[in-house]
Amino acid sequence: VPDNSPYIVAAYAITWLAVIVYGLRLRRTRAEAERRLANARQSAGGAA
Amino acid sequence: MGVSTVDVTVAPALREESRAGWVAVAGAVLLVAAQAYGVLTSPPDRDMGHLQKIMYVHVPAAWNAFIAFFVVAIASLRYLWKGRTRDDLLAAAAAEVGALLTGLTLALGMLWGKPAWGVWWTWDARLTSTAVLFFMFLAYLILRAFVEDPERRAQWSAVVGLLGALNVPIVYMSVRWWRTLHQVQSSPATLDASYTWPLRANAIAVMIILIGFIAHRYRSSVIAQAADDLLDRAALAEGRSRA
Repeated sequence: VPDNSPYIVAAYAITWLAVIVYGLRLRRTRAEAERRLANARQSAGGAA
Repeated sequence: MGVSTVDVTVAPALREESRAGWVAVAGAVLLVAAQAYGVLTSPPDRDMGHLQKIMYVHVPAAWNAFIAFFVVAIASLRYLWKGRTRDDLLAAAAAEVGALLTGLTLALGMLWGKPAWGVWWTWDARLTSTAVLFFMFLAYLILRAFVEDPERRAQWSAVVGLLGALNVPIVYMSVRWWRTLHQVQSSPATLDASYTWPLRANAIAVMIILIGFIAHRYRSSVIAQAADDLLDRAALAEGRSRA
């Protein structure tokens, strides 16, 4: 059986890359949503 | 008055923020342990040697993508039935995570296919149906990004989501229904016993990450939706006071 280590390492690396990058993206999305809500509350307060 | 209504709606989402995040982190920690367990304890396969270890990332990604699309189907049906915005947001969250996992499944499959079959890609029924599934959910996400009317976006998304989810049984059964280069489904019935528990452990870890990701994405959408509703109400109130 040939040495397939590069494929195995690449598979695990891609998996973790996907998990970490998407996890960080979720955090950014969350922070953005909270900022939008805070701005909306301010605007609504101003309007009222 | 509008502010307090939104606060009541959003408060649970804000409270549960850290819970969803911690679920994903717990899943990631479990995934490290499950991968170590699989890589260190399972013997090399008779034909593929250590290349078999790719199964512990490829198969859990595929199984959990199927679970995500099941959530899309249920939430889409509920939306079409009851018209609740939250079901639409849940379907969208699950579709996004499902698309990520399907893309990962395809990439990992190619990394397994090249050394095992000698090619990165072949138009075999399993690979092709998985690619169709992936592109259907990419189309779903693109549709959501481009349709501005929320009601129309939710209705169209629900229909595309249901059609996409209908493809899941076809993907799963493709290795039985057609002659494929891809092996039959990995399950305790088709696997050596020494691979079964590491595979289950990895699948459970990815499932916990899946739950954390979907919950996190869903709650972000609920908060963004509440912000939009609040702005709409404020604009309406301003318009009335001017009139």
